[in-house]
Amino acid sequence: MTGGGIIDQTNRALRDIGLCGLFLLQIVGRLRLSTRQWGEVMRQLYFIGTRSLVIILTSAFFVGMVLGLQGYNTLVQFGASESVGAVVALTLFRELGPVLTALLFAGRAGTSIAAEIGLMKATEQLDALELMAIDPIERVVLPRFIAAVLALPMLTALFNMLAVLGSYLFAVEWTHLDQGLFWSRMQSVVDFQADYVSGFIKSVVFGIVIALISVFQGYTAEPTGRGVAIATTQTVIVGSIIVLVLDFVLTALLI
Amino acid sequence: MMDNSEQTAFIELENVVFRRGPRTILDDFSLSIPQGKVVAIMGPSGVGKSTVLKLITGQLKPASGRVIVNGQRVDVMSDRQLNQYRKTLGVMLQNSALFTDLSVYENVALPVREHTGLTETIIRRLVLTKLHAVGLRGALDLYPRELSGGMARRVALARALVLDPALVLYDEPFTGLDPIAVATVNQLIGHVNRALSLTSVLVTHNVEQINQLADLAVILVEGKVAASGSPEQLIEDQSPAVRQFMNGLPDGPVPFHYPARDLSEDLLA
Amino acid sequence: MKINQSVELTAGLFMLLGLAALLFLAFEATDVGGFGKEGSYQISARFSNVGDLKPRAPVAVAGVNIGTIEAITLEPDSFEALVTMTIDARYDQLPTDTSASIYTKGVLGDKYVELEPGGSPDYLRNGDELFIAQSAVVLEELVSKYLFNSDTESSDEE
Repeated sequence: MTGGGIIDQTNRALRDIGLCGLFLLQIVGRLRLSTRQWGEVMRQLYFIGTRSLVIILTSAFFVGMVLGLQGYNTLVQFGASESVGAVVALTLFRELGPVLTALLFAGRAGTSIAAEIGLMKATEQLDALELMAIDPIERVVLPRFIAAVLALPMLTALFNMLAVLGSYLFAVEWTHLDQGLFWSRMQSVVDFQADYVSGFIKSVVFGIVIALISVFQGYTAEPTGRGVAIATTQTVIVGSIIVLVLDFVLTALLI
Repeated sequence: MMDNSEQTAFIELENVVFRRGPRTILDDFSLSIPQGKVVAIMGPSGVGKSTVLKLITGQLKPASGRVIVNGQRVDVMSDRQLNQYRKTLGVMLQNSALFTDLSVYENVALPVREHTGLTETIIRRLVLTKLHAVGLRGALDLYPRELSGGMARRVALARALVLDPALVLYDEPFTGLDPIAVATVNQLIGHVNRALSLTSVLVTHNVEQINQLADLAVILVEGKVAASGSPEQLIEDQSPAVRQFMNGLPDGPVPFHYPARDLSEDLLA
Repeated sequence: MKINQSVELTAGLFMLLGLAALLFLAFEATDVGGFGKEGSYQISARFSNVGDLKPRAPVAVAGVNIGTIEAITLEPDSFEALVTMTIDARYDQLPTDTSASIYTKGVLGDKYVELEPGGSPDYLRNGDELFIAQSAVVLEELVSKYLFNSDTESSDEE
């Protein structure tokens, strides 16, 4: 862990990226699911998606309120306070929604995926599968990967919705902004293609990235307690950094 | 030493060399395991016992030499062939390795579901028979976290046997169990081996249990077979390595000290 | 088995909830919904100058938004700007002699179109054109006009 020169570390990083890519190919190569497998995907969707709802929704609501408060305080100086909904929605759909949800998701669901797979490795469960001629990637990795990829865009949508409602609550109930104005300004400013769809694309990409990083970290973890701990930490660190970097790249591409 | 020329060898390791990094773990290692017997591979920790097991399952491939099980070359199998081969194997791993999110019943049923098209009724009969054999038919709805170590081992045994394999491998089956559980597992392994006329290979360092259970025992020291024969023969064996291991002496051919400079040099440095 | 089913049910519910949120946002918070293509009609007006009026700017009556600017194009023969507006179907009783003016919100705010309803008993229909349209007030023009006027005034006095 400690060490080496910059060249060593770059080598290691490049090798990890390469391995990660190969792992993705292995997963994608197994993308045919039996009905039983779908049952497992649903089960994982419950653990990964439903169990993340509380943290996502709570955060979203307060993020929305804060955006509403800040937006209102700034806009009111220019006599444009009715645009608060529009400002909040633009911020959310384009950037904050996909990015914040992805970061929270990496912390909540990504870590649990990495820890679970890592623990299965440490307790020889993955070996046992292999020795029963059952493919551990197909059986353990694939359902979790698919569930995570499906869950993040849904969570992002819920995050956006609750944050919009949070800012609505602030703007309309607190500052007594006309609610028709709130929505109509939002509708006239937010573009379906440029804001909504591109935000959705971001959330799908982030979903794939975090799903891949979590299963990869878990699957390649050193089969010890320390190894599992490192895998979970790495999931959050690497996941968060890559999400933020990719956000910039995607924004540049999608504009 | 081991006189089994009249018996058919079920597993044959011929001149196997296995390295992990710079370390040579098995060096020109040969071993022959006859059919229908309980064979124990013994030796101090870190001597390559588990490596032998993984060579037999095909998880590891030797740098050179041949691994032959039931007439098939395991070391040159493709992934597909390995999967076919592994369906004829039963393996009980060190930590039982039960799937934590499946019940006892589902754990035992998993290989059957995965590899056969049997109906649920037949799967149920099969699973209950195996669970009954290990005395845990009543525990089928429990989850692995609710089992004691000995019970988990027995479930793992039922799972290993559910597809009626010809060969069962046990990795440290007695480690971490209380004396009652050790006796139970010991009895089950012997019983199962006789009743189903299996070949059983145990990797262990539990000398006492092997004396009761094994037909043959092999002692590995430093990547070589130090001695082999029936447990009685091994007890009689006078070579220092065998005596050290069988009697549990702290120092001997397996040194007490990790390799180091001379003590006086170190202290005066 | 029962536990399994309830888990799958919850997971399904989660997906539905997510999809519902996606749809809600698409229709409530973006230009897809609101003044949608179905519950609306289009009218147009010609202006000699639209200033920096932009598509999707609001259309208002008495300061209340009733629609948005759909498109702004140049008429090739008359060199006038043709502004197409989408009006919410709720407001389908605008008289035919309604006039349109381009105003600015605040001193430096965005341009928008204000409709001034007339007294005609007939109502505007989809595709109708307004006949009275007052162009945007362009600051530069205003300044030059003021300068020009002050010039002429001074010359008058002479």
